[in-house]
Amino acid sequence: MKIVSIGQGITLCLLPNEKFKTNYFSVNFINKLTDKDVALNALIPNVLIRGCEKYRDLLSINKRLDELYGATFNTFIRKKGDAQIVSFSIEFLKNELAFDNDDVLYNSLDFLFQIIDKPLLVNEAFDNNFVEQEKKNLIDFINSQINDKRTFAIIRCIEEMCKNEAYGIYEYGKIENVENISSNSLYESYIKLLKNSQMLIFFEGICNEKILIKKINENIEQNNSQKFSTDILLKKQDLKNIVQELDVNQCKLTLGFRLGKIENPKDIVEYALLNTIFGGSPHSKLFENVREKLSLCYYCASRIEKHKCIMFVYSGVEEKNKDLAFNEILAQLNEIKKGNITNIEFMAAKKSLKNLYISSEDSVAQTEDFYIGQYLLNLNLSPAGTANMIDTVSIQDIVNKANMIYLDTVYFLKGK
Amino acid sequence: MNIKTIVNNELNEEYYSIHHKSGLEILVYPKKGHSKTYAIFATKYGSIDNAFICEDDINEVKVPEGIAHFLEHKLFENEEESAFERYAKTGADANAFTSFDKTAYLFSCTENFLESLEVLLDFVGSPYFTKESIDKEQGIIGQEINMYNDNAQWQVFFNALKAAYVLHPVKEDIAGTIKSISEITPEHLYKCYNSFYNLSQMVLCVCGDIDVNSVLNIADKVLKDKKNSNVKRIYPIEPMNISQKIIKKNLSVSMPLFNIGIKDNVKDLFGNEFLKKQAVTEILLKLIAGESSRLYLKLYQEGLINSSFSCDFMLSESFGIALIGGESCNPEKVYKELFNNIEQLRKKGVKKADFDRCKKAIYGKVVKRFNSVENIANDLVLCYITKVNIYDIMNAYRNASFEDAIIRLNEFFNEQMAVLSIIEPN
Repeated sequence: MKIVSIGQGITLCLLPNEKFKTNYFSVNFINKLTDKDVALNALIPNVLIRGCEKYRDLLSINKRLDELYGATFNTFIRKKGDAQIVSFSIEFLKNELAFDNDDVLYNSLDFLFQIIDKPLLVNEAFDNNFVEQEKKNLIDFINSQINDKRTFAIIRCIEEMCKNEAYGIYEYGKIENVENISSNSLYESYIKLLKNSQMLIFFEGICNEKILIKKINENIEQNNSQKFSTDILLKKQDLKNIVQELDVNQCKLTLGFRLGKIENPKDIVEYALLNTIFGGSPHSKLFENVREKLSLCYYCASRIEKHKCIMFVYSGVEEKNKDLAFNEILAQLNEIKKGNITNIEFMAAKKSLKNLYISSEDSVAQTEDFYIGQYLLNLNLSPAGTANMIDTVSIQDIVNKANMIYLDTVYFLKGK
Repeated sequence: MNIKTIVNNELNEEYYSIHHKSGLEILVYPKKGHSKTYAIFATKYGSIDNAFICEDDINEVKVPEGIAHFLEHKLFENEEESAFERYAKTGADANAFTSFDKTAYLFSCTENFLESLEVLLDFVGSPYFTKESIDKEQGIIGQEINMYNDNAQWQVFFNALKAAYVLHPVKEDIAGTIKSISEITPEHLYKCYNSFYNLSQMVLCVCGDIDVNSVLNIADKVLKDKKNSNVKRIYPIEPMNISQKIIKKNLSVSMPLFNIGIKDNVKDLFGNEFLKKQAVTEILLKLIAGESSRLYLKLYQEGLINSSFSCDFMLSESFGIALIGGESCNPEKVYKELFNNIEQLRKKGVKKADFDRCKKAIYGKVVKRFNSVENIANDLVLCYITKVNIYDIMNAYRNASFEDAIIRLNEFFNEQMAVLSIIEPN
């Protein structure tokens, strides 16, 4: 990975790679989550992809993508710690695989910048029809989170757990905030997004670096944005117990835990190993005990959000088995705290985690996501470099980390 | 052993096909520069294979629905160590899945590939089923079925199949029902295992930075010569009509979800005919209702669909169905607009330029599949089942003809064969 600072507030990550048939390019706008801006920022990409000066509606935008050999153009919103990341990405065929000497590379970069930089404007604001319709779509999308109960239960657990923290803000915003957006306020936010965000630009594939930087400089302005860090809550809070009723066949039990501070790559790897042993793999304690031994769940797993230093356990259970599952989950965490980790478990976790890091290099999406994480944490390790640190961790390191963990929130979604 | 090399000059890639002496078909696709190696071991046996006749028998065997999937779960267990425990030592990331027409066991890894391959070939070849372990699995799979019962995407899809098919077992849930899996016994599992897990009906596909001979050495070491019995699968003769026009269900969702299914007439479909049908139909679907179609623009602008809208064509040896779906406040209206649009296209004709543009876009997406060792190996399984090679798939899209598309537009996409499945909010 080559990091090039191409101006104030703009960082370019370049990853030369010949193994794929496609190139990947993304522009990421990074801002601190705030109640005021989060919905506006989430709506901006949805309005931009409705039309720009050159491709004035969905039909001409999508026809253009067809002509670029079905290039995949995506916009998405991510939350990492206290950061809301608004991303625009395009993945397109390498030139040598095009039929007729098409310059797919140049045309795809150009397409992305047309969308970001040259929106279709009506009287110095976005097209009101686009804005109103995309507001409705965004509200429908926020409401539709309830369709997938597993994710819904995790989102709800985060909301309850981090109620008074930036991380508790849902990255797509609140419905009432979306409703209040006008085409003028959205346009102002768009200008602000271009001018005030930290910008991380990512390219994986084969291109001429000079031409790429020139193209970026022509289209992206320098700015005075400052890096920020995520607030971490270290003082122990009272346990929160939340029960929500919904018409479901299967109940969802989600637990939110606070971890100790994660500051350097060693902390990351130690917690990642702890997670693998606890509930992050099919040979984890949760899988082995809650699923295989007690036959309580189809899934019962754990996941760490390293930027915020928290961990979730999520499972689908029958209501009558809730306490059994809850007690077993905590009992398994206690086993780790007491140091009851076998050498077999430990070696298996190390191998499994190494495999996870190294294989992520075969996926552009995972690689990009990894480096955005590195950028936010002010680190510059590759996935393979991180994997190399795994062997320096001892069982005692894991036990020390485990003893910093405490349960913060129990969220239970039950049937009516 | 005869190693056949299949080459493609455009992609500058090649792979090897070996008919192993054990009867197993082995396909090895070397991919330089990738960190990960992926292996998938599959049998042509899925949820639709619930009735069959064994070679040494004259009676038809009928087994409970969901048994192929149940068997997949149970194979991971063994008398001594489970497959997951064995993989834990090699560091591989392992999984398995059951679809309508196949069951597959797979892993990916970045080290100890040959050791993991040995685990894969060995555990799939060593069944061990007891009453106790079956009881335990009924609890786990019971929770899996419950989870899918709450999953609106899954329900809207299966209801479309239930409405479209009268007899074909594709209309039954892959995991079966809590009742059907409660009927499963060790004898059922052994019967199905012995009938369908014959190496002569299975394929091993490997993709990654790997040498073909090392794969063959492991195969020589682990695979035993077995008597390969033939089994005849019995599918009911599916009538050329749908079962019901509209099917609705209520779940706790925020907005209605829908699937429009258009049932195709498919029987014993293999080889280039299979690929041609797949390619032409997909291109047409994109042309009719894809994101770059006038219909999509109209429906989107009228607020009848959102970005969750998509089209797909699902094709297999014995069934085929086009599925158009997403979220909508008015699925009936979307249905009407779709068939009005098809009627218009038939009357006014399709522009060749539009056809070529859609073809170019899908071609790019097919080439992109070669980015991933998983996609390649999974496609190789499909190649084994449909009796083609992997580059034929790419060429089927590239060579799809406008004339074939016009014929297909007129014979398929028939409203009489269409169903509408809707999940409504509670």
